Amino acid sequence: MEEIEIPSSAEAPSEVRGSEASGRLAGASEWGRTIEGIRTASPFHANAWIEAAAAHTGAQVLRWMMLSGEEPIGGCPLYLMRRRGLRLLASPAPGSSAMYSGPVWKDLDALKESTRLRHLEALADDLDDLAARARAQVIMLRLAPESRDVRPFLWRGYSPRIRYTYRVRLDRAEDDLLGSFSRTARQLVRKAASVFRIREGAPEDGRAIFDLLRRRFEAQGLRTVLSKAYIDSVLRGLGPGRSRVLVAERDSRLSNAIVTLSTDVREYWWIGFKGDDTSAGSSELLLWEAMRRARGTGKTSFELIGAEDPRLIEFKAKFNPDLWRCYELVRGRGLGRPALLMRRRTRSD
Amino acid sequence: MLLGYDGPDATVGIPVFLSRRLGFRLVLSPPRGYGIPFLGPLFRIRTAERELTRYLRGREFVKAFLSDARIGRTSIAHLSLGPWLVDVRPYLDAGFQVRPRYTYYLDLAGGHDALRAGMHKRLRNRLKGEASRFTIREGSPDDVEWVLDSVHARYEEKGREMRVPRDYLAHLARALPTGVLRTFVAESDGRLASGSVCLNHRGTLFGWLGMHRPDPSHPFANEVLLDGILSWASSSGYARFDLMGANTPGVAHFKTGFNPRLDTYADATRIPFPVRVVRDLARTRAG
Repeated sequence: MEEIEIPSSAEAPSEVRGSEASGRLAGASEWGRTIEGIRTASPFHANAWIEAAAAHTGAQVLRWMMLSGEEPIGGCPLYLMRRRGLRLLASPAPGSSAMYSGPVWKDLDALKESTRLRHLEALADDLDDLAARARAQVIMLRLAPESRDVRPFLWRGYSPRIRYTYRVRLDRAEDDLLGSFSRTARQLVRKAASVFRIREGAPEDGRAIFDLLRRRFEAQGLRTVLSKAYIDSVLRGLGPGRSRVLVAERDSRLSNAIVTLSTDVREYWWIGFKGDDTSAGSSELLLWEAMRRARGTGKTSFELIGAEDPRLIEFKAKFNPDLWRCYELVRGRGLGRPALLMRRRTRSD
Repeated sequence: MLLGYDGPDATVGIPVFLSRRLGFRLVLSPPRGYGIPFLGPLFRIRTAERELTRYLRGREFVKAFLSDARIGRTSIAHLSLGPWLVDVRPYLDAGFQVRPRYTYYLDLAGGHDALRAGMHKRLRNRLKGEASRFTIREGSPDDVEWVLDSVHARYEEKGREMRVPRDYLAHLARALPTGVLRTFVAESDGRLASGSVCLNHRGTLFGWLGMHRPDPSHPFANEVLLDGILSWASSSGYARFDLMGANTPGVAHFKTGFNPRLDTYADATRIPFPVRVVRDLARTRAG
């Protein structure tokens, strides 16, 4: 999409209101320094992800930074794009295969409630203002589980949708972790360990892994939004310290694989597929191995992204994860309103 | 009251209120207009329950609920699900629209001094300056009438009808065990300035009815009363005070001064397709 110049606001709404919180657009370097200091930030907030996602989806990136005085206290990556004839301001970018993104804050929950709520209201006002300046007709936010309070957005007319994800706690002994899995999962892991060899993926595995991904989606009558170039770009950008590819080999042939992304505290299962008959148990073994390795590098939790698809709930629930709620918020402006009404009708009928 | 059984054991219960609207059956839990923020199902939880068991149990409940002849798949259902129910996926899968709702609570374990220290500085200073103008005491039955009158007056001011019947509180006071309903009032110069009817349940005090916009001559009566209630509750051994509701901006901002914590519950509504069509047509005609 051709880059749109966003006219600057004479005064940001947060300044007009007199809130101690304000916001502005930031460059990549400042963004990177700010996000690095936020424990709750996900890989989907990293510059490498943002740039790869923008290139893959054709979106224009807007790095919105929240400030208290002059000090950065949070950030919200936004993507401006056209979809079905409408201009959309979104976080994350649709089609980027990120379940959520949205704002992240430094220690928001440690603030007194009155300040915390005012910060959230300042952000909601600023996003409205930014959407108006960008002439976006739809605003769509998928928030991380840590964003529990969506009232400021509800008060401004956003429609909420409740979503879920799963997280497995890693802050316990390895035996306790394995012992918390269902008996079926433990049996599958044990059996698969005698059949498959697990190793770190090498660059030359990339094509085979992508073909496996495409075949598994096609077998289910689905099409993946991912391209090999996009996956490569994300892995290259994040680097080996923030990403991991594990493959399962059987008789020296690649049978299954997973890709995880990570921060200092959490590893996220980004790409993976249910095993077919010849690779039964390999998905469970790969996930167990990924959790073991994440635990070994000090991560305190492992996210099995997404807990809504009934086909996958039974698979993921075997690892006895904790259920986390997250929110999707959508609002239409102008022509966006009837378009969203049609979308809601189509989804609910 | 509907109960679900696993063999001989009751494992889930939900109080349900049935009526009719536009020719359709209306299924409510809780009933509207009686100041009950949430009800919905209560499950008997076994310790160390695994995630898959919890999920399947929730799914089975919703399926059985909608299949019950007294509920019916063509009914309009509105359930307000308590904060204990994190997983609303079975309701989403069954076609309910689910909306997050919020309430505030205060942890009383640290005592009144800790609560005061946590409050917004402006509120703390206001309380220091205003508290001596009021006497806080437990209310009499006449005071309960005064609270109800003030709540009704506030609704009328806003052009809304308060549906809580006047004899509802009297009926509750007779039906509930002694001490479950407690009324507190703030008096100044011998006149009532603010009041609150509270509910007491298992170590939590709920600020249920009252504390609507006070007389302009006593603009801070509500803050002083609430602070007084917190002082009484923390010294009386209560663990928690539930501020009951944080969903409208004005009310939420008032309560934030006390530095409460946020809790989440959810409203789940299911409107069958024919009813949605009638509703949307009516809205279109209304313009």
